[in-house]
Amino acid sequence: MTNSSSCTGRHLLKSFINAALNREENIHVLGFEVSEEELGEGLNTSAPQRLHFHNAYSDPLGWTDHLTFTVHQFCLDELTHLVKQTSQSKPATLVIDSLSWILRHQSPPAVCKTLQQLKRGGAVRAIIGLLHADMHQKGTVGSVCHLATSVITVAPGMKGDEAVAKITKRSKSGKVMQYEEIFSIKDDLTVIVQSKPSHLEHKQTDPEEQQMDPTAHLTFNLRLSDTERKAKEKLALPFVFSKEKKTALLHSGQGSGRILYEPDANDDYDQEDPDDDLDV
Amino acid sequence: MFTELNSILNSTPDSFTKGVSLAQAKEKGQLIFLEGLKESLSILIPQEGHTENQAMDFLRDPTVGLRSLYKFVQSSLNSSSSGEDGTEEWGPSVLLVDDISVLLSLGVSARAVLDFSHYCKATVCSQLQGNMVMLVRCDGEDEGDDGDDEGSELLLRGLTHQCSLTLHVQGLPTGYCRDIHGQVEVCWRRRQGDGQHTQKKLFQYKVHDKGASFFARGTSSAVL
Repeated sequence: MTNSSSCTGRHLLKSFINAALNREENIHVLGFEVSEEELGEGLNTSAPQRLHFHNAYSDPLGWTDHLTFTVHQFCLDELTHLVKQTSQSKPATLVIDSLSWILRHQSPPAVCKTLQQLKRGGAVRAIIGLLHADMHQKGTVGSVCHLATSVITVAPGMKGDEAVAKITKRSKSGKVMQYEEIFSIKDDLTVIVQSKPSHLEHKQTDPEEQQMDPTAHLTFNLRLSDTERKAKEKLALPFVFSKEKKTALLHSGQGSGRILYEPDANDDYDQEDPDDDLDV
Repeated sequence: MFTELNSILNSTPDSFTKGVSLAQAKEKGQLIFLEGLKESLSILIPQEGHTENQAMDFLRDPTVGLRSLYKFVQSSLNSSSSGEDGTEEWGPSVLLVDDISVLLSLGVSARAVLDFSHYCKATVCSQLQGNMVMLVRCDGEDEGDDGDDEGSELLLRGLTHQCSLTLHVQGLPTGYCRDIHGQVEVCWRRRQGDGQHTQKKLFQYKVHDKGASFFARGTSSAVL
């Protein structure tokens, strides 16, 4: 799930966590960016044994010797160990908040490698990661998103409560589906999807713009009144060979004019065709 | 002093005594002031008899990061909030950084600054239930997507992601005005009680001798 600084994706992430808790899944959260209290606000707390929060917030770089999870422990062995320590029979869902934090301290190839290994490893059935797309180069964002089976990009919506989600889903067969949805999140972290996706709204405004009258707001008058329009339509254009002109030319009427040429003494009137010697 | 700002931010300070003496507060231990410019001299121009201030270690090697500076912050907070030796117990701590962009121009990477602000937030806000205010400058240059990875834009975005409230202060787009000194966009990132997500509001302000007044756009007393 990607977001930007203008619209936080953490609320949606919490909705996903809550939904997974409601589905009775085992969840492990790697919390780098926010504290356990802040992330836990509003989450379903009926089954605390299924939600394992690994504190990577207090001391992610080992500056204060707090013995909490550090960013350097983000590798296959440590994570598998972490998840297996506390999980029950079912493979767990791993939630990473956020991948951007890890990418600040580990190279993108290393992070992608770890994610890929986790995917194949079997200890984890699903990984949900939050990525701040505006904090990395496009190539990094692209590489990480490429690993995912679904990418949801969150952006601010038209109204204050709403946000727009651009969803890309890759199925196992290789088919890629892309669509947009407008959603809002209620206080109990349930997601409400609005019925009309945003691209339909855009199509409705386009025809309106095309019908906008270009002569509307000018300081001079480009419009025609009815009499002016009729006179315009009656006007015969000078170089158009209309039917009337054709008959006028073919049947030269009385007094239509003829050309008579009488050469006088100074004219060099040669009866021969001057172009005769042309081999045309 | 800041009545409009308080109502905008929906906050009510408990008690407010006018006329605070910074010098007195410093003596009592209520105010701990790290004057970066002065302390940097201890590293840049070492003199005998003057111990170096370790908090400014990053000046010697910016790639080392700001761990020492954080240690200074941590030890200052712990000493002032512990209330030992008969010192008064103060209320929640406030960390003010003016301004964090200077660190970028001293060679510290944006990543290191973001790590520092993360640790400060974890200590000041989460552990000690205090508040943190950081000033960051941004020139608004267009550096491009794949451009400078270590620039002030990256720092600004990173801090915006970390914080719960941003006040984006700009001059007026139309230029200088005597009665309106600028505009400020207040942006709440965390979910508030009424269920709003990122909520933004734009105000204009004027700075006085003892504070500033805030008003909605176009409603300055000079205009109305």
